[in-house]
Parts: sequence; structure tokens; C-alpha cells
Amino acid sequence: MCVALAALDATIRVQGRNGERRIPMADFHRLPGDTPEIDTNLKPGELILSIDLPPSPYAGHSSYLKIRDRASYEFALVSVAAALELDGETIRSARIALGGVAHKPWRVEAAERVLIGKKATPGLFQAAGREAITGARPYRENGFKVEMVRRGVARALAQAAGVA
Amino acid sequence: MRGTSIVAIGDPLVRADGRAKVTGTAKYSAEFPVRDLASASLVMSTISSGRVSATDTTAAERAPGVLAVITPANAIRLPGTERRLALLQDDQVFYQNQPIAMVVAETLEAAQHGASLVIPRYEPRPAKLDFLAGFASSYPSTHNGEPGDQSWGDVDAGLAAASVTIDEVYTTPIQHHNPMEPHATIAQWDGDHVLVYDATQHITGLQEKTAKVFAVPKENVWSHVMLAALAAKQVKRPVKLVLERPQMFGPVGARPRTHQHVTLGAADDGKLTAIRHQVHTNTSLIEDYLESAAFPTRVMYSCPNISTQSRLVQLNLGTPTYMRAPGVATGTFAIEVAMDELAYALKMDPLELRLRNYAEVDPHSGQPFTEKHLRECYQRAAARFGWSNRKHEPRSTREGVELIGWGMATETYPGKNLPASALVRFQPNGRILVASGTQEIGTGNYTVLTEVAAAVLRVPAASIDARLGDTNLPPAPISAGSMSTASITPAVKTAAENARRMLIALAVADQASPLHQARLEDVAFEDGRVSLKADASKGEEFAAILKRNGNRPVEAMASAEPKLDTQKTPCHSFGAVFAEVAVDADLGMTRVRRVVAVYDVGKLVNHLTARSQFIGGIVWGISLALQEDTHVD
Repeated sequence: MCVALAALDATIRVQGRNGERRIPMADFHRLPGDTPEIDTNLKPGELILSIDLPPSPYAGHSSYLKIRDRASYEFALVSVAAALELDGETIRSARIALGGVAHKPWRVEAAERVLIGKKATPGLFQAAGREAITGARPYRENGFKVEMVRRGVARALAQAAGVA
Repeated sequence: MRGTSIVAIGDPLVRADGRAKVTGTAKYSAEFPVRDLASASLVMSTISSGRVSATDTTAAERAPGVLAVITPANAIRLPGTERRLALLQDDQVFYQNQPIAMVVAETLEAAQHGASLVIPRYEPRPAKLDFLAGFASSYPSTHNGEPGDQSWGDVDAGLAAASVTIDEVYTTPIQHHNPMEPHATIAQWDGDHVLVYDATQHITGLQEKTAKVFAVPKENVWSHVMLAALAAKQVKRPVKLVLERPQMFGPVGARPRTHQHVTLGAADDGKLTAIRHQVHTNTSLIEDYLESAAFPTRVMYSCPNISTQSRLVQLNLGTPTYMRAPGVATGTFAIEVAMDELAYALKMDPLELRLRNYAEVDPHSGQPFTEKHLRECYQRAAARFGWSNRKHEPRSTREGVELIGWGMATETYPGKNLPASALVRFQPNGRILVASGTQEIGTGNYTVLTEVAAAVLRVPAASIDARLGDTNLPPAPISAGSMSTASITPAVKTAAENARRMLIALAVADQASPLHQARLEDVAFEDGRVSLKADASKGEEFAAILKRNGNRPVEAMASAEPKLDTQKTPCHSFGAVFAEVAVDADLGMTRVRRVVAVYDVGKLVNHLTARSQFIGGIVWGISLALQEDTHVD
């Protein structure tokens, strides 16, 4: 859910002692840094009031892919939220967010940029998958996820475009 | 109306303990109320090999609520200890997550907090954790007294004569079973009598072991987990010890890793000319446990030249143990995948290859099996599955992004039973008790005891109470090896027949009974009444007879011994399993879409519980193949 919300530019509306504020979904969760015990940027005493989704040009062409060992009762090994704004077969803009690869939903904007202004083809989606893993830093036991992301991004984009 | 509820052997009687379990009222080992109960918490080693040179217990001993911090320095000496049990009798560490100290406190929280304050100092030794490197020093072993190595014929000659050979290595990882009920023990001493509540597969075996370790008379012990008993003895209070989930990885066993080298030789027509199955598997440094993966190969297929070999590799891990189904799950995986590879090398249907090598008699002894209906299993399962529509070519069936594969395999399991005893008691309150010192580990023993007693006595199941899980009851074997039902039910049958005979004898001897001085053979026990066979109106409820005769129960205990010498008459279950699996060709996601299995396991005492066990076996098989893999770091 958070992965899809990150892809679709959701904002979290929270109420604290000092009033209301909005946190963009992409900024809601934190990387561990020196305070791994703090998962989110919610302050003490703050309550989530709503999660707001803006009207989206992506509503017609989106896909959420959950790659997991079992069909149910299982977290995703890798999840991909992909959304396209299409003008005919041409991609005007794109959103790609990943789950299961970092401590927070992970937007891959470089991969999104690969798509802009191009024709939606399987070959282009493969290129976006390759771009999505550029700079990935796996650990000993999760190296398989890099290749899984590459293929998953290509699949999710193809599904979003309706060419899978 | 009453007659309609008579039970026949095999009826799908619902679980006698089902309601209690699903409503949460069934009592588990950790839930028995015991006055003045203290809690224990274990401290586990964080190294795999070496010794604990010193343990700083100062902070733990000062922590609120702590009654005792038990380490090898102060643990009471146990007369019959065994190193493999890790009972805090010495400072040696043989695996990571080995108990090295124990804190006993007023509450669970205080015990856990105390355990967190214990500071062990280690002198590590290099740990043996490289499985493959250990092959050079591997050694033969046995499994439950059966040899790890067994060969006949001439495998080399058989391979030389083969037109096609398969030579492959198959591996299976370490896998842990983690039941929902944690390992839990409550121990309570009274002099040299110890009462133990425990979650166990074998209450009588644990009673014997506890008696040995603590050198107390067996009849003064109920059953075990030794550390809880040690803690209770040391603090002189009842103690509860429940393993925490992370503590399940090491001290309570796992399915060990296997490395299986399978070589098959076959003629052009598919007839096997040789089978060689060489297994390497790990054990610990403190005890030999052999995963009997090579054993099923001895009964699977007709072949004149078979060699099976087992080698143990010692690793600094907790001792492996029997995990469903020990040896068979791992071993049939290897031999059956090899058979599939052979089928492809021969361009032959995998089922046809198995039929051409069908073992009409036991391949080793040449003796006929007690019964074998595997051929019918294959035929029925294949028909239900639609196997005749299978395409032989790999990657030939696709649905969207998924490749669809069909496969099948043979199953086998030894058919064994052990001596067991049971009692049946007619009670003055009109109810009938059936009891045996067996245990309920989810397999349905309450139900099976009830069903057999009800069927033999021709009374409704609702009039029977089943009791088990207590070593004061007539002893019964371990719930393992698919033996319980076959072992216990003959004893229940004889006990019920004997109790009925005693009841009838009591009735005809009773001057106030309408059956007084009737001939024994003219009297029947039907639907809770003792009556004349010729005139059912002449008789009475059994409770009436008991009430007039001192209000005492009538009870009979019976034992049953295995009738069959399985060394001379091979007895095995067989089965055929067919599966359809979808694999996402790009993403690797694997989904088992359907499984059809047909089993030949002898007479079913309860079709419903048996079906549950078959389904459970299939689920475990899927999980073994696709899901589970314990990583050692």
C-alpha cells in the first residue's frame, strides 16, 4: 500500500498539539541512519487524519506487482508500483516505486525519466528496469532482489501499459 | 434413534477434542495451574564451539524477583546426565543457541530480565560448519538400529550393462519445525517424586529418561523436560520453562542437510539395471542422528543391483532430529527426481517408467509385501489428474506469463507398530471410559480411541470419554512413524471385549438382574444395555448392574503386541502423487495449482482424520520443496 501511495504522490495529513500538517508520502518513512528505532517522521502525539491522493493522470494506466514466495500470507520479496500517463502510445510521464528493497518505499526517478516522451514498448520497459537497479547495493543474502527488481519493473510497466 | 448413532470402524467421526481446541478451552502443557509456580528462562550460547570460561551472574542475581541463576558452577549434579542434553553439567559449547545458564524467578518477566543480565565469557574454538569439507571425515551410522548401508547385487556391473545412466547430486537444506505450541514444561518435585507437564510425542519415553537422568524410580516420575526439573529441584519450587521462539533453533532439533548422489542405470526398455544412492547428512558433535534418506530406495523399485550408503558429517550445530517424514521426505525427493531425469533420457513417460520397474516383491528380501496396491494408486490418481493429456516436452504448456508443469512421484513409508496397552471401563454413571498412555499431538488419538471403543461395544461415540497424556495410564508407544493407531487400537479392541465379558458375567451372577443365571453366550451388550440375544426386552442398562454391585466400575486392561515380523514380511504404505505447478517464467514465482494423491495405507480407522493426515503430508511436501531453508550464518 505504501509503495503504491509513494508512486501516486499521496500526502499524509496529521494532527498534532500544534495543529495540522501534511507530509508527502515519500518523506513519511525514514531511513535508519543513527536512529533506526524511529520508523516514521510522525512526532510524538501526532495522529494520522487522512491519506490524500491527488487527482491523478495515472488513474487509467497503473499496476501493482507483488513478487512473493506464496500466493497469500506472505510479505513481498519485491513489490513494484508503476503508473503511466499516456498520450496514445507515447509516455508523457511515469511513476515507479519499489517495496522490499529499502527501509521505505523507494521511488526510482531515474528510471521514470527513461520513459518520458518515448513509445511504450517492451524494449523500453526493459531499459527502465535496468535503470532502476543502477547503484543498487545488495547484501550477502539479498542479492537476488536486484535482478528481481529489474524484471519486476519491466513487468509492472508492461502491465500498466496493457502490453503484458 | 439410538441405533442410528452406532459407529463403524472407518466412519468419519469428527475430532473428539475439536471443540475444545477451536474454542481455546483445550489445556496445553504451559497452562496447568500449579500453586507457587516460578518461571525459568534460558541463556543461550552465542558461539558455536568452545567453552564458557566464566559466567558473571552478579547483576542477574541482584535483579528483582530472581530466585536462582543456575550455571555449570552451581547446578545440582545429575547422576544420569547425558552431554547431548546440555544440562548445565559442564562448560562445553557444541552449538550456537545451546543452553548455558538458566535464571529462575518469581515471574516470566523477571526470569527473562535476569537472563538478559547474565554475562558469559567464552573461549571459542574453531567451529566446524562447512558441510562439504566434513565429507572427508564422515562416517557410517545407523537409524533406529537399521544399518545406514545396505547393498545387494553388483551395481558396477549393472551400470556397465546399462544403455542409459543418470548420475546426479540432489541436496536438501536444513529445515526447522516450529509447532504453534512452544516446547513447554512444568516440573514439580515432592521428595523424589517429580510431576511433569510437558508437550511431547512420547510421555512414557520421557518418563523413563527423566528417571534415568535424576536416578529416581520410574514410577515416581510423570514425564520430562530435564532443565525445568533441574530448576525445580534447585529452587525447591515448581518451575515452568517455555522455550522462546528463537530458542527453538538448536536445542530441539531440525531436519538435517542432505547431499545425495544418485546413480541410475537402465536398459532401453526402461528396466533399471542398477541404483546407487549415497547420502551425506549432518549431525552434531554430541550425538549421532542419521537422516535415513537412502532407506526408501531399498523398497521403491525392482532392481537386481542396489547400493544404499549413509555417511554422517559432524557440525557444530544442535543435534538434528526426526522431522516429518524422517528420511523419506528427503530421500524420495532425490530418487524420484532421478527417476524423472531417467524418463527424459529414455524419452519415456515418467509414470510408464515407474510401472516398468514396479516392485511386485520386496527388492531386497524377495518376499511379497503384506499388501501392495501401488499400481491401483497410480491408475486412479492418473485418471483423476488427467495425466493422459500430459505433454512430454519441457516448457510446452504456457498460460500467459506462466509455464505449466505436470509431475508425479511415488510415495512409500514403513508400516510398523509397537506394543501398546489400553483400558476400557464401564462406569456407574453410565459412561464408558477408554484410556491409554498415549498422547495427542494433533493426529487424532482421542478420536481414534473413542471410535474403536464405540465400534467394538456398539454404543454411540457420545457415551464414551477418552483419556490419554498421563503416564499413570497403561503405557503406549511414541506418536511417531505413523504407528500410533495401528499400535493402540488392537489393545483398545481387546480391552473393550474383555470389559464387556466381565460386565455380562457380573449381570448373570447378580440375583437381582433380569439376566440372572442366563448362559453367557446368550447375553449381548447392545446400545448400552445388557440383554438376552433372543429377547432384548429382558435386560437393563449397564449402570443399573454396577449400582447394585457396590457402585464400582467394571474395567479391563489389555496389551497388544505386533503380530507381524516385518523383517520377514515386508509391510509398507505406498502412494502416488500428481501435481500441477505454474512458474512465472520471468519472475520465478512458483504456485502449486493442484495435487491429486491416492494412498494405500491399509485399513482406515477414521476416514476424516486420515484425510487430514494425507493433506498435511502433501502440505509438508510442498513446503519442503518450495519454502523452507534454514540459513546458518
